[in-house]
Amino acid sequence: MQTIALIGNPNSGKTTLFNALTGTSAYVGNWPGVTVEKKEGMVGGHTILDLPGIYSLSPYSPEEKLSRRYILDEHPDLIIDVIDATNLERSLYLTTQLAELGRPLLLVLNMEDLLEKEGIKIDTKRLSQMTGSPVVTVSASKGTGIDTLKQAIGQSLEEKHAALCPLFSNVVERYILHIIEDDYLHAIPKERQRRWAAIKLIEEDELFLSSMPPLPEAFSTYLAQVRTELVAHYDDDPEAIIIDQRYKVAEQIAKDCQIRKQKAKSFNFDSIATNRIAAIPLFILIMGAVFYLSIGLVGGYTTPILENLFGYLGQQIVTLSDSLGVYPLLSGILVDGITSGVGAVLSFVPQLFVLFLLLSILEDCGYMARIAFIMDRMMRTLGLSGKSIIPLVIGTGCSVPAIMSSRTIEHQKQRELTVIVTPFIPCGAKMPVFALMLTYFFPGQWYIAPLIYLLGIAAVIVTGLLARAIDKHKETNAFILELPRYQLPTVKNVWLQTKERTLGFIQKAGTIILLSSVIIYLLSSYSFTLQAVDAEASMLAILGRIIAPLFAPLGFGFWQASVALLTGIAAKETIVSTLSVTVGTANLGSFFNPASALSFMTFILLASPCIAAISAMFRELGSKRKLLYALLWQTGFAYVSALLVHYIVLLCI
Amino acid sequence: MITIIANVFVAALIISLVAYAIAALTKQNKAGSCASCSTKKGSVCEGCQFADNCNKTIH
Repeated sequence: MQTIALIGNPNSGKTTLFNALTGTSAYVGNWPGVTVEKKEGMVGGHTILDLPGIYSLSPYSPEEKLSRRYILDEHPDLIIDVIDATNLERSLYLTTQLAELGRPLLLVLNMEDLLEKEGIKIDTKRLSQMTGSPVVTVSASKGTGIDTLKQAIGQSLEEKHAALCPLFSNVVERYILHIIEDDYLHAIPKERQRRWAAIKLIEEDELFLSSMPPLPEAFSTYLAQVRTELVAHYDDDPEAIIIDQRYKVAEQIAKDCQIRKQKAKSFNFDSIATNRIAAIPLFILIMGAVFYLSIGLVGGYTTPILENLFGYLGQQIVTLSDSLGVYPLLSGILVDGITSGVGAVLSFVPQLFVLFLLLSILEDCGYMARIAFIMDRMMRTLGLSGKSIIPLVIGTGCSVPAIMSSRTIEHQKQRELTVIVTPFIPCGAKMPVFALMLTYFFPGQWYIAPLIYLLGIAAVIVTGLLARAIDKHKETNAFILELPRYQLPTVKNVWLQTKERTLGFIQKAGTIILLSSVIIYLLSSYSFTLQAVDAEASMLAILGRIIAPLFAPLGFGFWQASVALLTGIAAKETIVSTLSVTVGTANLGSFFNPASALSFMTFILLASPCIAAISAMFRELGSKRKLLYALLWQTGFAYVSALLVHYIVLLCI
Repeated sequence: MITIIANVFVAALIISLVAYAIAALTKQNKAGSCASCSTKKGSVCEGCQFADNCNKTIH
């Protein structure tokens, strides 16, 4: 069994190819940076690894370092360089580095289906001659060329041909040859190529130097002299000179192998989608349409039907239980606890399915990355990293993986700030609460739902600005966010994402919501002396009344809301089931009004997240003190915001 | 007799639902934790996507 490594630029389709080769369904996203950890699979009896995307072997972020470390230290038997065929020249920059490693290299030109549309023709024979590596064209998303690729993999593993090293200008080559001849280069591990090591020495690559024995003084002086002479000759620093040399090689190969037809100028949607002025209104419009379709249209029809269905089911169980003489405690748990609590949450499944479906389509077609691009400008002015966008976009699904993905941010303070602000973005679990309130208090007012997203973004901005004002040592870093091309969403990707999110929601209803519904029912039916009592005299009411006055200024100072907020710490969907058990969703109007409903939604949106997200925050922040500050900030900020929303709405009505 | 059977049935139903929920939650917690990852048959590890030192081979 041999090892194959899949490597390439971000968003070149490595994971799609990995799925096509191994028959698996790892998460694929139409934006760079989806894969942050290596994944293993099997193809033709060999192990294949999908590595995070990198632009070069001089990495900056942790996941880029992971790819480099794997390629250099684990010595895969074959490196498959996945190239976006429509971006040949840029992709060949990485190819020039991989070729120097002395490992068998197979070039895979992915996205061949887009070549004709883009007016590009690639001479694969010529490309193979110039790089010394076999070249296969595939379309991983359409599944074409996969069998040919499998054959080529088998052949490459048998033949084990090393690729041709790129040749730089005579001046640079002369220095490389001199350095290779030095005795010091004999000290490098035998798997590593001397030419590659010589180039790293010219570049003064810190990662490489830290893995080598100390340089002898004479050799170190010689290297310094080489660098000085190169700087004098090219008027640039040594690292930039090597980068330039590589780009010239890549440019030359692309020029010789590729013909690009001039494309007629056509309307570019990005002129609106990423426009400074039009982008945000367009985003509000698109999100408004998404929420109108899911919560307004689908939810408007299906939720009442399902509520009636669960209500009818509950009535039938009560009638049957009474006729059979079932003990009231048992029938109460079954009907008022489980059926009512779980049913209240399950009645949102159709609208959430549509919501997840539409969000997956927006993600897969490339629009979500445009939102990231627009926000990227803002992020850097807020003291956040441009990369903070990735957790914020993932956070629309679930805060837990979103918080974890903040690991790609190099600077500690920016990473910690990202961890703190990520839960401000409304996750899927908060959606049933918003849907419940929107359905009862704001029917037909489609603009309220996108405003929730904007409020979350505003909370990110305010927190970022405050953190920047307090921070004396401002960290800045460059981050290039590559815009993926627009594409027709693939049915498989959209279906997988929608199914995973919807099933996750249903699974929660059958687990944590079921348990909490039973507990809430028992606590709301019995007193501390274990006597069956009215809900108003129950343990739950007494406990809820202790904290309820805190929320009185926000407009929901009744114990049912306080208890719902407390149970929401277990999982945000539990808020709906708790309200259903304690208040009954049909009676919401007796407890809330539009102002307090909005204030309640604001508090849920911004207050500390569920226990799973809190534990993810703890892992990433690495300190109880920092976690405590983060939770205090989130909850305090939520309190003040909800208070403002409540009074502003009261003033406006 | 029918009343006793009905009560036992409802109690058993509630207990089995609660037991299922607890078992599923325990499994979910394990699945999300790197500590559960092993090559042994029946490992519930779903692969720790974001951890540096824990991966699952997908067959």
